[in-house]
Amino acid sequence: MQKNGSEIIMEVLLEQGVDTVFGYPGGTVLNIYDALYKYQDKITHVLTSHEQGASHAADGYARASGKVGVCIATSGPGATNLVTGLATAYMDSVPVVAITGNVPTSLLGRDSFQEVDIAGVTMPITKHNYIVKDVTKLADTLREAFRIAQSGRKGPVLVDVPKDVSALMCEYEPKAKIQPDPMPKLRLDKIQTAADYINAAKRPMIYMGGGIIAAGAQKEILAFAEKLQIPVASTSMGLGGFPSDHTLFTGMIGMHGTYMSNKAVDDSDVLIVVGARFSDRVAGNRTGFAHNSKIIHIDLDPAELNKNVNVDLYITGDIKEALSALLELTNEVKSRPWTDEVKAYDRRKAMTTGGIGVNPQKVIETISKMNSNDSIMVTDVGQHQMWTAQYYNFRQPRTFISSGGLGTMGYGMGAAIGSQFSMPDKRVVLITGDGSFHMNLNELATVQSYNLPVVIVVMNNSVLGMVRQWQKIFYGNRFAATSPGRKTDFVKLAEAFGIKGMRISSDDEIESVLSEAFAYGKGVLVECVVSPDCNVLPMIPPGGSVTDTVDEM
Amino acid sequence: MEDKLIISILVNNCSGVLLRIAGLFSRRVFNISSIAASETEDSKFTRITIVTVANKDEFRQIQKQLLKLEDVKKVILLTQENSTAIELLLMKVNADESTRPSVLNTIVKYGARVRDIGSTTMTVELTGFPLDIDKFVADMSVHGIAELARTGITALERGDNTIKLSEF
Repeated sequence: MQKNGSEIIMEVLLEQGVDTVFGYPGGTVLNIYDALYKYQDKITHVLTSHEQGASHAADGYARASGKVGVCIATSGPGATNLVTGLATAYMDSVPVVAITGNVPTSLLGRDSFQEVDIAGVTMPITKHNYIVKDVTKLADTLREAFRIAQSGRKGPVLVDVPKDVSALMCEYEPKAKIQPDPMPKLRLDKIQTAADYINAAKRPMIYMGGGIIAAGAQKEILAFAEKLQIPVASTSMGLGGFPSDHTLFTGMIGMHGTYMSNKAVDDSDVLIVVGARFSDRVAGNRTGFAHNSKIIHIDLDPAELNKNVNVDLYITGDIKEALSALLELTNEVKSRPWTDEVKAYDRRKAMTTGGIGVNPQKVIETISKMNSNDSIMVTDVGQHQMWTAQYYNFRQPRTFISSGGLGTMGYGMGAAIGSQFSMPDKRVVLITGDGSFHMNLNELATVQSYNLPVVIVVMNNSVLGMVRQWQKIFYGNRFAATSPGRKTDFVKLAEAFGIKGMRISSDDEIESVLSEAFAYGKGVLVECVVSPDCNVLPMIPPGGSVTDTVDEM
Repeated sequence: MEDKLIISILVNNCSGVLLRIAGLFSRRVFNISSIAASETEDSKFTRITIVTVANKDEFRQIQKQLLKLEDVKKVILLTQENSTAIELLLMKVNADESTRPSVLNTIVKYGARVRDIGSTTMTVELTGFPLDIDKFVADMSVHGIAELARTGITALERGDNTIKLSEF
């Protein structure tokens, strides 16, 4: 049947099972928005305050659900406002399809009003991108975008559609939902070698990452760790992929990971790295990382082999399948002295308030107790993010939504909105800091407009805490630009947006205020007054290893 | 050990593909000594020949990162032994009445060809191995080089092996 380009976009979105998109209208996407109007019974369009919010919302939607997130923006500034969101999704391998308008093909390349070469701009931060200049190729190009976003190591894809293409008519032929590419075949000889290493190991250790969640391999990793009694450390991206309260779980690994995790990796004789990529926040010292260990690296992306740390054995393929195969070939271990040795490495300390205000650790722990297993914790980036990663008891995958690789301050509001739209029945809590929150607090308007029951907890220490912490350690307490002295009244701010505002000023208010906030059932902001001197500890300085751990400051 | 490597890349012949390849090299901090690209016998594909300085591990990383690009179909390493690697030089060399015979002698010695003659210069073409071109340029420099352009290496495997388009 004949349809115009914009209707074709709607039809392909429906083919792919998309029912929610995030975006912001503008001149060159007017045709697309006209189609969204026509298709409003089938596709919900969520209007954010800013295109960046839409890009983070699409990302949060994808992370919380495992489906592809979709965002739409107009040409020029609309498109460039997606850039941070796409880069965030790219670094954390999140499947997102971004659709941008562009000036009509006849005006391309002439510095036309609101023209930008967004395909050129986003080339290094997308898996692939397209500019569609021929309406007859539009449907298949968009299908390809969905295939690429979901195939192999997932990631964002951008499709740029000039305005004339979104208006032109052409024949549309419906097709079935596109399937991701098949996974690469596992090399069984390598699995056998890995099993031999593991069976012979005395001090085996697992270092898992976000790949466990992307692959849906939480059951397999749990079964594998339990069968062989292997302690498990997780990157921040992997949190939720293994129950945090499990006896074999040693906590987060890396710069702000537990001493137990970092020491155990350092002391291990066989390190099984699953769905992780030896980032500099984990393997600060690339050449000294797990230097006593035979390293087995299991990942879907062959380019991760020896990219950062050289390994002894590499297994490319579906992590879930690889772990199942390993489970078959490895011998059960009832108990091993090593797990007790690892437990003795636990030197976690209780946090203090730093003199004034609330203890952020207690806030996170209280939320952890009040939440159910499937509640979703979204964070921004900074100290509050690390406190959440350290003190929240994650019990299920896709419950920790946080910008890991790119470290995007301002990510949280959009991501919380996206998470809530993908999981309308689950509780969504955003933990943010005053620094991150100031970046994209405009999205409070979106929370209010759509009546989203997101609980926003602002850890207000009145400083840019993480950067300030580095200034304390490495820059002789010269607090350049980290004490902005802002007088924002967060309670009044929330109220100005039509959202309930609350405040926690001391530890004894934590439970009562949070109970009220959670019972409220609508969007609510809770400001926690935190001391500027609460630090994230322990900390391994950049480039360092476990022996450089800073426990106190 | 770092070597000059010749990487032959078969890619979709579509707009922006050269930018994708060059951009990948740039952002991953791989270097490009030279790059040459053109359509293949099948107009759907372009072959890009890149000369880079890398060791074997770095090459493997380059290869794998390239293969993650949607438009990249195949990446092979060509070595001096298994390939014919040729470059084209165009050079405008100073040559007036008095020096022309001596310039021509060098041209004949290297099997180069005269493509144009001006009143004070000659434009010379040489196709051959990069090392020979280097030597030719060095020999000619005594006359004074007014202008010079080199294409960078383009290369094919020796023997009957091909990069085999039919697989795609």
